[in-house]
Amino acid sequence: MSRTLWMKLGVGLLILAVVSALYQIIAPRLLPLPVISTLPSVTLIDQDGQTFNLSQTRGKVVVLSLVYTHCPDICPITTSKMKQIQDRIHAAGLDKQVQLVTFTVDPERDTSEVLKRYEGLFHADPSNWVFLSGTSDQIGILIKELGLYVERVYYLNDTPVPEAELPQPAADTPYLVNHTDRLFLIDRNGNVRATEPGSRTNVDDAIKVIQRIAQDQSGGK
Amino acid sequence: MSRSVFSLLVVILLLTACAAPAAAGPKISVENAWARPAAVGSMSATPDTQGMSDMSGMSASGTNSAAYFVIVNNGDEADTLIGASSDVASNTEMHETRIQNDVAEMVPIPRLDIPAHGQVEFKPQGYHVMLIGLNHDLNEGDTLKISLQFEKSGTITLDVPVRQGN
Repeated sequence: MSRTLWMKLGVGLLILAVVSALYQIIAPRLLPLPVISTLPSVTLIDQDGQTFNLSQTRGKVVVLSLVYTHCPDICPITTSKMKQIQDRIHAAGLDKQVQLVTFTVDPERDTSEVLKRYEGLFHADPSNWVFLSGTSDQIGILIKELGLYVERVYYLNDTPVPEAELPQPAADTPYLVNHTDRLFLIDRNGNVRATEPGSRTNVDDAIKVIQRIAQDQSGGK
Repeated sequence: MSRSVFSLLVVILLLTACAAPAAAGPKISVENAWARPAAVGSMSATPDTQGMSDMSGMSASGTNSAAYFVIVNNGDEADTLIGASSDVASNTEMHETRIQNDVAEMVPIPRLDIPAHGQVEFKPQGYHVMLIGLNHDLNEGDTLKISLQFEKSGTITLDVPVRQGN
């Protein structure tokens, strides 16, 4: 093979590599985000004791997080990230377009009153951030539709015991809750279009995706 | 060897022998302590339930919080953190947060080694002291006391400011 042919082959491979790299960078920004799941139309109770159906969020981009207020470490971090997102949304003038929703995965202990106090701890602005509780069945629907892992863990003589392995019913027994650590970014049609890693969320990255969903008119179609 | 030189060597050896134990052992200090705010509300802590773990204080109490700090050991010997206590909570325990396969869980840590010339950081998403069953609100700007019990160094009591943090 002649030297010229080798050079042409080399240049061709180089161009291919550059095009491939550019595609990797650009394509995710051009292609529509996938529809991962859909927010169910469940009626819950907000921090002021008012009913709130999740379908009320249609028409707005939703940032959804989950908490249980007895959680001392992960949930406060996630809620602080939500507060940072709320502040950034406000600074970007997107308040009317973006609704923040935090729901409890521990509805038996997290009543509306408890969530109201929790809201106050984080100086959440209630104008576009709602904290929701409900019945175990209602919360259960949300957990199932979002594909969350939520499991109570009881402590018997300092040994953690998952709820399914309890030797007897657990009334009045203390527990913690193992749970999925994730945020959900949802479009105006109630479709989950992206997720962020909960307490580990990079707020800058989340804001970029929220803005992208806000600009996307396709609704995932 | 003259008698005076021999005496001098004996004195030096004795001084060295006396000085050595003072330098040995752990030398523990605790830095950068803080705790998360928490709102207890109108509910109050309940006493432990018989047969339950120390965590039973959290069942009906308002809520829990977490405290963080850095334990530094500048000594030549390791020490072990064997407990924590505070009068703001029904129970105070050492825990570790673990995130595996996107699921967060907390694991009680009964003992934690603090290596010689090393440090162990209690930080969000890692080790923390869990304040279980708070008996009053922890508001930003408050200060609470937490005592840490070490196997060799005894008890060290911290003034812990309350603030938000990630």
